Amino acid sequence: MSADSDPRVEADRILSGALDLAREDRVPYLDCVCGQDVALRSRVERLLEAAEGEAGRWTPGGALSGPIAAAMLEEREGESEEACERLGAWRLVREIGRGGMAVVFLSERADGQFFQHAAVKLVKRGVDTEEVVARFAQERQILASLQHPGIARLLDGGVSPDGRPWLAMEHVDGEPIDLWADSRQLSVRGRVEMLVTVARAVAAAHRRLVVHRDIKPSNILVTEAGEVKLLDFGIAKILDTEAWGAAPATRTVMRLLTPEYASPEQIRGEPVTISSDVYQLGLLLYELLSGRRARQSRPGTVADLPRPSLAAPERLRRRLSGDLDAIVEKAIAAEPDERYHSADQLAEDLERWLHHEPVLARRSPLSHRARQFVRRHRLGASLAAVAALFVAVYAVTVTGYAGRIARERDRARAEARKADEVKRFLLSLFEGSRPGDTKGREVTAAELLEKGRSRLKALEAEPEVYVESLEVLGRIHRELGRYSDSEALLEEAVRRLRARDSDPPRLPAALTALGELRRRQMRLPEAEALFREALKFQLPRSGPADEEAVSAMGNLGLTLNDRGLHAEAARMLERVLSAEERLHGGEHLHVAVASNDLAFALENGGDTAAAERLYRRAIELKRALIGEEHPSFALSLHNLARDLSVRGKHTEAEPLVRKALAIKRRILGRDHSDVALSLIVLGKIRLDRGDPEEAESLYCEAASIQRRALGAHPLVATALTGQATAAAQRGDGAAEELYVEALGILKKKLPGTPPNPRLAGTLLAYGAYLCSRAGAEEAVPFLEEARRIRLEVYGAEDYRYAEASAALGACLATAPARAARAPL
Amino acid sequence: MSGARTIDTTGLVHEAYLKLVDQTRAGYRDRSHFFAVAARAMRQILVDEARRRSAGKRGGGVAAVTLEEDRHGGVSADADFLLSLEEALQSLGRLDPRLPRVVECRFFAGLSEEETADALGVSTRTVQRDWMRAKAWLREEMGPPPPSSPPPRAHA
Repeated sequence: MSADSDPRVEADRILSGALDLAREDRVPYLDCVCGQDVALRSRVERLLEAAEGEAGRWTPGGALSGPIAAAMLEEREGESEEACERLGAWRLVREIGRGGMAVVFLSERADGQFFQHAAVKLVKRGVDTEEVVARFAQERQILASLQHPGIARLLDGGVSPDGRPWLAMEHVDGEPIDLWADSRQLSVRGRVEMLVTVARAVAAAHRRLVVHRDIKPSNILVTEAGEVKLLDFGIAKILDTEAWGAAPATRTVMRLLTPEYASPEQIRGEPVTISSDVYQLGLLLYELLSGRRARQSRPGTVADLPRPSLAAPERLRRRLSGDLDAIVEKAIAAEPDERYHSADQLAEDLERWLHHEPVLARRSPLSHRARQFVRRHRLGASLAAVAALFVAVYAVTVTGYAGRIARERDRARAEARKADEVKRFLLSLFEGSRPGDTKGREVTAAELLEKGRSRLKALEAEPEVYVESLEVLGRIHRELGRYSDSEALLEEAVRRLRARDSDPPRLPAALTALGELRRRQMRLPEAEALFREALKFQLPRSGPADEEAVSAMGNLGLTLNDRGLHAEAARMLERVLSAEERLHGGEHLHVAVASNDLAFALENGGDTAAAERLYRRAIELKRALIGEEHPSFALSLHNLARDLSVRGKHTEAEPLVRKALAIKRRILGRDHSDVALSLIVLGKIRLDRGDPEEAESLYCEAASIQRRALGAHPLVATALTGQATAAAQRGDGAAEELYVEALGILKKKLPGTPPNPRLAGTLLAYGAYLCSRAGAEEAVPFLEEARRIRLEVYGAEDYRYAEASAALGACLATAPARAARAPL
Repeated sequence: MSGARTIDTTGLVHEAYLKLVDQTRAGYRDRSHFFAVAARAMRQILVDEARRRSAGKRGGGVAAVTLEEDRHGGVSADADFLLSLEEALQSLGRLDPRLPRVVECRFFAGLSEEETADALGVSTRTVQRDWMRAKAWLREEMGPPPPSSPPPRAHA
């Protein structure tokens, strides 16, 4: 059967494509590539399931773990492992241990100088490569210098007559730490004290740059007198692959040795650092305290083994209560960066616990409590995001109040009471979200918000509280991308406020909130009018140096920018930035936001280099002020990536936008329209980098998200245009239809003067497509229109106008007879 | 060092290599390639062994299954598995010749993703994807994967 006629080829191609995507991205991909072919789709789904499914024996080296291999080895072992009687000055008394790499003998000095016991470790056959031997010599020097009362000393070493390296270690007559603690029924305090000793010994070795790599109960012996000794320091490194260049199977053996104690990075085969020791100390602590293995052995599994399950029996729950729980969690965090930075730091935190002081692992009590809450109540990620938004939006509300309280002291009490009411209302929504009340199933964000709306009715008797709650809830819906719900709430808030006789103080804020919604819906003239109206009420009241006035100006600037009035927008946003700097100084989130916004207008206006500087400033500020797990941080990252990619810096841009995408998905959920924006930028990068398959799937997902979230929105058209271009590059005839649909949406949704630049982008892409398919005659009108729009929006000096001119020129050149008709 | 004895796979892979190629390693570009060859050797050795034992079981005469061997549990089941895997790998090679190579490196020699990538001269990402593809197609040919260790047989 030739490869071409092999019916597996098509399924295999789709399978490969799907495997390259994150699990959640596969459904839209399959939707796109399988189309209506149900049989193909179900075959691919079956294959995907098998590819991801239970590993069973399909583990690395799985063939070597079966009975056949075992039988072969048994036969071989008999021939090769002959006893050695004496190594260097040591007489081997008896075998006391045997591992994958070495055999250990109890030994005594045989040269008669003085009586001493040692544990002599002799490397097994097959492990004794040149490199391992060389590494032995090198490491011996370092290990011999490692002198600490808590570490078994290296006494001697050498090479056996048949060429195998051996080491003589201080022989410790003791019991493994876990058994020792159990047999003496040691208290929790006693166990923690013992772990402090171990951690200090490990820290001492770290200061000499020696990492243990294999900390586990059997490597920590406690003598009758209660002395704690760590064995085998640095041995793992000698025997590990690094010592062996490209040599592979050793690492497998290492993994087989003690997989249940390996840190995530060890399992992934990444470089091992002191942080891995910290991780293993954390596991050890857990085991000492709980009396059970943190993890079951899963030999050779490279796949996800992120953290032990901390679901624990009653005994543990009592002991691991509170701070110790937090300490263990911090030590065994999946990401090395989140662990204690050193073994000393872990020891110090345990000492704090012993002294009843607050522990480092609990330093951010609020976020810790939030995590606890989320875990305890098994809230869905989307609900956690809603909760975060509640807090964020509410904080804004309260800040607004605080400012006004300062200005209008006579109203302070009433406002404070109202703020309290709004807060109580918001919190009431979370009541009844506990698993018991919902019969154990997850509460969805939608249910929560639904509840918000129905409870709102009860507040109608208190118009002030009611209107504010409408506005807050409307803003939350907006942030979640639920624009039609948001619209109903915000419109009602604005309507009620406008209906009042005097100018209600909350009106500008409500107008701004609705304006922001309109801007996101790309109903730009309406947005502009709302922002101007907000300013009209706000300015006489507060003057231009007021926070709310500045924020309304910022929104107006962004709206002008969206309409294609980039220069005017940049001027306004520049004023906003300097106002924010005056109001808050340099290090403030508002300054970061204003920098980002100005950069956006500059980027759109063509000054991409200045935009890059401002984006970077915004990113640094946001990282310092709000951290990376925040939609606002992700937005600036996304913007910088787009700015870079427009200038062809794809290698730098791609990881940035992928990171932004990941953050947005985690916080906003997968179906948020902001997620789609990043998909579009990533799609463009993949397209420019010659990967139309992935690009098409990214655009396709973006379009379907936007369609669900926004209906027939200009952003849907942008995604469709990208999808069409990717399809065209793959030679897929579906491109035509997609272009036409995109143009239809744009012409309907973005009327006005000047014409919106988004329209030009799609016209240009469609024109280029038509030119190659149908010939210049059909293409030219589209290209000419694109060129005209860009001239009007950007001016004759702009590169985007040049781009349109070049496309038109190239197309006319394919039809030489008509070239003279439209001189450039 | 304590704990259960583990299988000395390093030795086995080396042995595989020594059985098949000249000890001078002449003609092999570098270590990486060496391990690709060793991995393929590992497959041949295990399959040969499986064939030998399978033949023995059927009274072919080379080595009758003894009580001793039976104690390992599932020797004959393992042999059947390896032989049907061999057949499936042949078929897999017709779809994409690289897939059996990846299976050799990962499954037969226990190489990590990075090591396999080195040995085959492809990217780690490609190895990850190919390993998944191979598992998917092998499953289609062979049915669900066997458990990681065969259930021990009761002593008769």
